[in-house]
Amino acid sequence: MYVVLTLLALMLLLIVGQLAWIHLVDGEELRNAGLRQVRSQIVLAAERGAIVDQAGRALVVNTPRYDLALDPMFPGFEERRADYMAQLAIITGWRPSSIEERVKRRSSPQYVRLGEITPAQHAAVDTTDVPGLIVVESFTRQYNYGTTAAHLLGHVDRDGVGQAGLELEYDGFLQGIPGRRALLRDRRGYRRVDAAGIVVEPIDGQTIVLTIDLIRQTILEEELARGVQEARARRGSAIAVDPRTGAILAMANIPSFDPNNPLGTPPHTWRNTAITDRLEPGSSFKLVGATAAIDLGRTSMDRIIDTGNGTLNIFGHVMHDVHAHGEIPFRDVITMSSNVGMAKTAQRLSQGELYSYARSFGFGQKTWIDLPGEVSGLLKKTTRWSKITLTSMAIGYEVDVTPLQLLMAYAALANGGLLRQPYVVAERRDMTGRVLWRAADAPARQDSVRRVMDEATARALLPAFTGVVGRGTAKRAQVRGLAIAGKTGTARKVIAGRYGGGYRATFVGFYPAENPQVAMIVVMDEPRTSIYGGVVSAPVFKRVAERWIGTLPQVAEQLIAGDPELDLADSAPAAQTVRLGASAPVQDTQTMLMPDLTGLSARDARQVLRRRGLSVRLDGHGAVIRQYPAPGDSSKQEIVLTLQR
Amino acid sequence: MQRRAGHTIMTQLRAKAPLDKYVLWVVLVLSAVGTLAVYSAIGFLAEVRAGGDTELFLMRHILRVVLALAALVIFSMTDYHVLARWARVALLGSLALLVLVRIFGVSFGGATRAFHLGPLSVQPSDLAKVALVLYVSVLLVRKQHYIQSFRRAVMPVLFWVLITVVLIGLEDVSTAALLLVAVVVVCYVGRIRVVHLGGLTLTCAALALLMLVSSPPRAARLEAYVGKDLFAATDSAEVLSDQTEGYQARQARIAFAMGGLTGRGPGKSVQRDFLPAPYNDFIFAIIGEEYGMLGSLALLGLFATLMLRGYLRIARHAPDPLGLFLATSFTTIITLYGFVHAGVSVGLLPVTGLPLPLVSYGGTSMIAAGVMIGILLNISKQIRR
Repeated sequence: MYVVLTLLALMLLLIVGQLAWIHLVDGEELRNAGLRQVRSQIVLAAERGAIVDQAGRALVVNTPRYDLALDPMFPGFEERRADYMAQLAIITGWRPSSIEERVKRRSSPQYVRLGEITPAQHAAVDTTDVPGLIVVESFTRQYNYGTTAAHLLGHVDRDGVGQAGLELEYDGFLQGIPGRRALLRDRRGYRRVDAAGIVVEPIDGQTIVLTIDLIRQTILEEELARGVQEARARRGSAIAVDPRTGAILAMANIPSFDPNNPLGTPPHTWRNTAITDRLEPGSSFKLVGATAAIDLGRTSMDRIIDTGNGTLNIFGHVMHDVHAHGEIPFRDVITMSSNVGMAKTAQRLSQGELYSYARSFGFGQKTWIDLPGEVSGLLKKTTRWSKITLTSMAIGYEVDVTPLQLLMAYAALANGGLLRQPYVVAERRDMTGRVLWRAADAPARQDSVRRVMDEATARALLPAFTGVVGRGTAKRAQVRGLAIAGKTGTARKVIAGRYGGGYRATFVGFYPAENPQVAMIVVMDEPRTSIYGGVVSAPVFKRVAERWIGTLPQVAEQLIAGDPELDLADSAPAAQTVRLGASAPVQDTQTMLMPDLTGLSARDARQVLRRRGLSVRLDGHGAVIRQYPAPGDSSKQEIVLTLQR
Repeated sequence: MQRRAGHTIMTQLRAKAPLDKYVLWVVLVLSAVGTLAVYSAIGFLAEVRAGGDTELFLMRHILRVVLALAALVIFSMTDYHVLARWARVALLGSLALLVLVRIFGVSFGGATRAFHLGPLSVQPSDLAKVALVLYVSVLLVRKQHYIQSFRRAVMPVLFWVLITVVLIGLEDVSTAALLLVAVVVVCYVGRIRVVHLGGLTLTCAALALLMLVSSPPRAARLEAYVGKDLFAATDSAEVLSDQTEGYQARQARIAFAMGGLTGRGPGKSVQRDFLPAPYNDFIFAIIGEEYGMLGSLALLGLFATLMLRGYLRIARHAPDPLGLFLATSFTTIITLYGFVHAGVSVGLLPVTGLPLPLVSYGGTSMIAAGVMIGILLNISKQIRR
């Protein structure tokens, strides 16, 4: 008997030993494995932020989207499968066979996505008794005005992640921070609510307020499209900026695309060529040489320069003017755009001087606008210059710039010689409208705001550039009563390192000349009716400037002060008859005011809104205690009602 | 005549010897702990079978505990000598049931082991267990004079043991093996020659190996325990994967590790969702998780108490050889069940579906344990001073 007792006691000892081993030796590893297998969490999606223009008009919003999914393993489903399948078919309108097919082909045993359903179908799903149904709520991105500002806004992918434009640049702010709810999971993968589990509420994405204005943007796009069409150009870009601040007023490229369906047009239409394309600026680059010469005192505006018969031989390379001008003052070298006169003036500068002024204007480096994909252009270092680079560059060759760089250089001239950093986002706000960040208060990049020239230099140069519009190469940019300064540019395109047949025609300028509010550039790529910026680009500038007057009170005031007889009736209505984007539901949403929904049940509130053609997002159950937008405010695409029992 | 006289003396002495209080307390504490643990562990089964009505299963368990305690009281008041007279009939009856269950029984977890009688499922193997031990003890007493003889003493014992063990073993090898160990122990105590016992053991070992080879799932479980591919017929990749026997053993070990020293607290087990049949095969792991290292040690302590009292107090001082044999074999069965169950849970032994006596959720095994302890207590009451 003692033998048996001893054996059993030995076994007991072994068990206790094994217990101790589990606790002391394997404990850590086993505990971790145990924790890993039970932990699970549901991600609570944060709503992506909206993008609105400077007046608060919603350019990009989210619309709720419902996807129906099914857990075919849910207890009770299998028993009455055929019956439930028939019910599903009635609710969704899908063929029972196609639902069966999806269920059969599912990759996960307990989850199969059946398809997208409408809010009405969602309501029907809520009341049905089919077990195992799951409605996945998410959002799709809606671009209210279709192609308008498409290159600025960019687009998102299927998962709502920014792919281009502001959607990409500000993705981190727009996305928000998803919340999560901790759950427990058993061995079949079923999730159970963990009463003690952590719940982290999602933080919705921030609303981004742009510096651009929907009306102005629409006008710019219309006129650019018209200009491209009239010039029969391959493409065109236009940007306008407030030279005093660097705030972009509008930015457009033709052709454009619809961010609601980016795949509907070829990839080249997605490119924001205003910041991604390099061009040789041609005559418009003469600003750099002229600034250097005046700022350094190498010449004066009145100095007479002999342009001779319009040709100049520089180390064997012959340079031509379009017309022979003979002996003219330096100001007319700019006004008449004399290559010979500019080259002769440039010869008074050293290579380093021209280079450092070009650099100072921002060429060869990014402007650091808050958009993705900007290129820095090409400004060769002086060590790589040839004997003729100095004179070539002075008239805008052997240098590559982006339209935005060129615009910012002229904006610096307009701003009394002070260069600004361009930006498109004015503010970031949270869901409740509280301002989190304001561009005006934020420090700009240290190296991107700088004085390019003395204010006196800017003042001295100005008449030459107003002359360009008044009596020089850009007479077609004239607007009655408005003093416009600017410069045309025409350059042959470089294709694969050689000058091809095409040209780029540019007009860049600003107005009112004495107190500039707007600087604008219009670039036409391969225009076919004429190659001159003064012919194909200047008229676009002129028409935009005219139609914008109604949106710029300060410009309008100066206009009236300068020319009391001017009748504003011509220009102002033009601003108001703007046709806003083809797909714009703007009339509906902008004019409709929100009714007071407080106290209504979810069903009643939804009905009220549905009658007005509005969809709604509901938070919670019971009666409405809060609504967004507030009663009396104009209704938005996205209406959020908070409910409580 | 002599036995009858002795019997009257015992009856007279009965009032003086109290029944063993330690064993009684062990039983009560085990049933209470078992009820708590089963209540916690049964939720999953309740969800699948009764739509989440956990209380229904709790009530069933309590009913069984009450039945087991009733059996315990009845058998502790019934003189075991009287039972001995019915041993042969009981064994024959349960053998008949064992045959019947193979024909009409309910398939449960891959093996046909039980009848359903209303809310209770009856496993004849549990009845056969008690009956066989009872009858073997009676035989041993009767054949003490020529116990060394293989033909006259060993053969009859061997006959009944082999029939019962094989019938049980056809469906439930581990129960059969445990029963065999208990029988060998009692035969050893009953002075059967070690050579004969060795032969018996070897025969059974050969049989067991045969069963192992003939049944791939069974072999697979053993392989999972050993962690090596032993048999050609099995697919060891599947065996060693996370969802099979190796997985169960690991989940049980995780349960102990999660329990730490003092446990998660009553009803807070998480591993019950990962362990198969946590209310039965792995109830010790659930106790380890909810009550910690201290809880599991205390539970083992209870079984150790039962073992010490059973062997050193009751069996050693039993009034006659029959009492000695019965006490030895019942103590062995219950203790062995307890230790093997615990050994499986901690990963010391291969995974088998053995219940923890008096604790696990399981009808007949609970009542059988009640009967065995009842008899044990009756013997303790007849101890000579």
